[in-house]
Amino acid sequence: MNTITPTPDRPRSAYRNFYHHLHPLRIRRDSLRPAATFGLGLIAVSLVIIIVLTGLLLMFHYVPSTDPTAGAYASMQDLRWIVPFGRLVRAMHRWAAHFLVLVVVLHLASVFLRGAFQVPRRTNWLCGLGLLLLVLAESFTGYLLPWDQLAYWATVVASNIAGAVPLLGGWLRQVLLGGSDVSQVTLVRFYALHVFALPLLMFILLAIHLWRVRIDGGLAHRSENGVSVYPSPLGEGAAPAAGEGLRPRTPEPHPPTRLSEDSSLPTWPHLVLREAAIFLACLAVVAAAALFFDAPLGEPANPAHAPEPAKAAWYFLGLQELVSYDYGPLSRLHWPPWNSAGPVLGPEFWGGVLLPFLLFTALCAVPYLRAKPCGIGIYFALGRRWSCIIFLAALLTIAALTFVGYFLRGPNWILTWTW
Amino acid sequence: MNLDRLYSLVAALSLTVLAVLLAALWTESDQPWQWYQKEFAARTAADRPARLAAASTPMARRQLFDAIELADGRQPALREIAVPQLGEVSRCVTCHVAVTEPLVARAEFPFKKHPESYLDPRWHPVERYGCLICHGGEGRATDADAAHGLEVRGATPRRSGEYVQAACSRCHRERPIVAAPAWNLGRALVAENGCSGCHDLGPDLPGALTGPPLSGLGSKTTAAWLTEWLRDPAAVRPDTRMPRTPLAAEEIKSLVALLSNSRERQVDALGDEFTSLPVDFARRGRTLAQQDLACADCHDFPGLQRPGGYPIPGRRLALNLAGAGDKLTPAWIAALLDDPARRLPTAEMPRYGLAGDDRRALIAFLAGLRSSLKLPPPGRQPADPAMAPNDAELRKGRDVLARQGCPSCHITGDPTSSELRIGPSLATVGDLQPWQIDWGSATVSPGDRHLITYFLRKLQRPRQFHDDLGAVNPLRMPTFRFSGPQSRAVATYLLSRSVRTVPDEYLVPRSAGPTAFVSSVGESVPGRLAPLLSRYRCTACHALAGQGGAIAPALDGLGTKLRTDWLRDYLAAPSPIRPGIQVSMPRLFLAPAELDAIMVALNAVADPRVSADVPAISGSNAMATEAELGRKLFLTGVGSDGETVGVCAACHRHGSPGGAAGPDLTHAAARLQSEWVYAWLRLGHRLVPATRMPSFNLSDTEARRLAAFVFSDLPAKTPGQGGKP
Repeated sequence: MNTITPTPDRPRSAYRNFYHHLHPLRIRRDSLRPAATFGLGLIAVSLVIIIVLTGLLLMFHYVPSTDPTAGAYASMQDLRWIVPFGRLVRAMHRWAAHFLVLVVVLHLASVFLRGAFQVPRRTNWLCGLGLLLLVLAESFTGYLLPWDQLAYWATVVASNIAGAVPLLGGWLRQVLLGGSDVSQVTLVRFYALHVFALPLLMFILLAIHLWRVRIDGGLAHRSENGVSVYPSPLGEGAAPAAGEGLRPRTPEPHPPTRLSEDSSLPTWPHLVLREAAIFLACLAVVAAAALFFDAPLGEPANPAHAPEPAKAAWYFLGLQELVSYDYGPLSRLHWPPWNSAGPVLGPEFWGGVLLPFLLFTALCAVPYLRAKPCGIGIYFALGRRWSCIIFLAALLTIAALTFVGYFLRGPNWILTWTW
Repeated sequence: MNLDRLYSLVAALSLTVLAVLLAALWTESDQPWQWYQKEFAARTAADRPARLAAASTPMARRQLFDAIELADGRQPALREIAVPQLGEVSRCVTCHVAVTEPLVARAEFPFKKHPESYLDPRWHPVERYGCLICHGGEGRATDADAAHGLEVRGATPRRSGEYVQAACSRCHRERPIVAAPAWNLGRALVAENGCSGCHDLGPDLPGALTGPPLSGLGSKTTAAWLTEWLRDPAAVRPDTRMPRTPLAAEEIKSLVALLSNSRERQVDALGDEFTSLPVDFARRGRTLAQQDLACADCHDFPGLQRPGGYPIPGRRLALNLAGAGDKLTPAWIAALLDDPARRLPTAEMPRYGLAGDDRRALIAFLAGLRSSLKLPPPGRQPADPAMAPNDAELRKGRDVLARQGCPSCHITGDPTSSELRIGPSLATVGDLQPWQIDWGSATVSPGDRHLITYFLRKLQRPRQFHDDLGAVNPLRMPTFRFSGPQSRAVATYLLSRSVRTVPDEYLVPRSAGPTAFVSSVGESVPGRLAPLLSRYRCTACHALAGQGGAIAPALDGLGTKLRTDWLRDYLAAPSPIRPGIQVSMPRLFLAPAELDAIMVALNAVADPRVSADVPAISGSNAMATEAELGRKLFLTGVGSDGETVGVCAACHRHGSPGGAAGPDLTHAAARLQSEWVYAWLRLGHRLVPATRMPSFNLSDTEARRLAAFVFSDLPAKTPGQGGKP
């Protein structure tokens, strides 16, 4: 009943022009199943929209200054106590950002476990990894803006890790902080990054990310397995794309239009309604969370007095945990290794720089390790079981580290049983 | 999922979002502070209290509020006092709507005027001081718990009652601080009990040795007395300042061995002279102590107890002499009387020029003051080498001495003992956040986990936070005997130990003391006076050039104030001048030559503001008229312009009947120089900052007339010579 037949009436043409940039006309029935992707990508996009809108409202009040009476901290207090709905908007921004980090990681896991990172979606996998970095960078820069103790000292911890990068470390730290300490300059830099530079990059990457979903033939689906020839826009039997460059495109027909009537449904209203439902659900959850739980605000930043322990945000606690370990003989090595007068490569390097770098490099390299795709669109496909196991092990390790860092670390970063 | 259910789902979710947003709207619009403002509006308008009383249900009240809002055309609004100089914003007045409204002084919180006159525009105008500087709390918050600093980390928890006085010393530099009685009491207690011996308290109270020296204790007292004393000082002398340190019997034994091992040859040498004194000597000594020496002004002793009041309400200046005969050897008493500065460097005891039988009588009296403890009488205790404790015992004693921090209050005279403070620094203790307090093993309810509770509990039983550790308790603070109000006063003082500062323009200077003008006289005067002052310990009670005690009036400017002949008679046989004085000048038994020397030196201590160039006060017929006008002013208080300036006779008398709050002026002419009286009447507090007499802002004519009246019974003298014969 909802078959879409292109007729040149006005709404329909508007629909085609705008809406079709993001959506195919028809979508596989399988892809609409909740368990296909658990809607994680859509949830992430919904959260981004909420974050942008609430962030805009917050910008109306926020002053990126360290002035104790009229600066960042005072604007936090005013948002909390006298700006109408200020408390709600700030809490929504905060909780949506926390949810986003979680959802993005789950999204990554889901894509990995479904094998959706393989040809032809290698580029989009890289694009998604870029977005992951941007989300973390946004979280990190946004964390400083309230200018409370938590913010200040989390940034000090993180900037010290950044300083451990060989060769570039000192310079990187200097550029990031705008000096040797976290100061007014740092606050302005983080603010500029948080509200302008990083969102701009994120929108560009997000646009590419969403657009590639279409270009790459929609969500990964098991029917792609064994098809030696990728259903190219150029038509059946066209040569598979070499590498991951952009393939030549034609405006029509899009690959999904060739989906059979049985296996697919029209995007309108089936997909669009689901998108609306997910967005509304996200909004309800975030607003309810914000209503019941205030965004925390510690005491004003005090460079002279470090809280015990100084903890980073929860999503960086795995990293902080790694930095706290003793790397034995490794941490006596110098940089460069033959120069014994050079700086020592301490735990900041091994745990804070090298390990995350290797992990991220591995994630980037994963699609290129296997020439032939295997088990596309199938969770825990047999052919990829070892990579799935390794991936899950790594993910659980990070989760465990985060748990230890969040719950079990007391003053002086000593293991304590807190309940 | 079929399409219909999908549509329903979207609709349901839309409604959910709407519901959440409505809930947000509801919480946003229903703020408690709005209720306070409405309630206040309802209470204060003319016919409304009755209607308010009638509106008992919440709904009726709400309707009434709505009606009032409509009638006044006034919506509840956030209010704040911004004090940019202090970097503070106080939104407290959003709920505490009436702090500056005098009409509601008797309403209840928060519809009440600020108590007392602290917010009087002359003292603390609210727009210059705000609320936070005294009360703490979080000024930007608009809900009660947050604003009171109870849930906001980093905010000072709100202070109320006497604890507000902890803030006074941030601006006020004068001591004591006017209108901060609890803080003043706390400071006096902290100083008197030697807290700064163990704890650094910052520059306000630098460390001071409050106890007597421990060297030569073997010549001063007996081992039996020391043992009793160390077990519990208050059992021996209930009003002692010495706190109780819980010690094991073993520890007491080695401590007593160490302390009584130290003897002083100079004291021992006096020993034989006082072994047997005639019985009637004690009676004679008692008379001497009660009358000439004014011992009872500072000490209690059996048969003579007075209510104390200095420096702390209910306390005497010096220790209770009951049982002194149990404790002190007659030789040591003699040594003390001969040179109090050497025996008790920290006490304000004056030196008396006693000699011969007077001296022996006083010693006999003091040595005869026995208590009910039935201790063996001291005296005739020659050092017995056979009884000397061995080295191990002494070492143990030294360990106990150092661990319990005895050197924090006492000079030990032992070069091996450390004089370090054993307690942590309290110089910034008022800044501690509740979560920074170490409660140890003590059980504290969450609501009590704040600094004031900690102070009160610590002062009450200092080692309670590590009761679980028993003998190895790392807490070493001894137990003081503070009453409830005293503990609160000490807590108030400790709360004021903070690094927080105020801008310089907020600082109240120390009252311009007499230091300023003495130096203009010349360095030589205090220089010549100095040996005499230190010999008789005048500066233990009197200050000169800002140095010295605060028990008695400062000596600055004495040469231009008092008549020399009067002063000479006074020093020879003092009698009280001011009513209500607790510590009066004792008779010092000065030798005539010393008296002359003091006269010469004090005469040179002039105050340049008391000028000799004043109109002649007495002697002429014209002055007799002036004196008559002065008498009218004295009695009626009506000034030359018909305005009432103040009735002198309310407090003073001059021949005629009058008040007794101030000194009797009948014989003032014999005591004071007329120039000084004239200057005093004009300058008031500017001349003598510490006076209790109010300043009346008298005109020159009025001052002249009053001075003329005061001196009207004085025979004529040549002008310009002043009162110096």
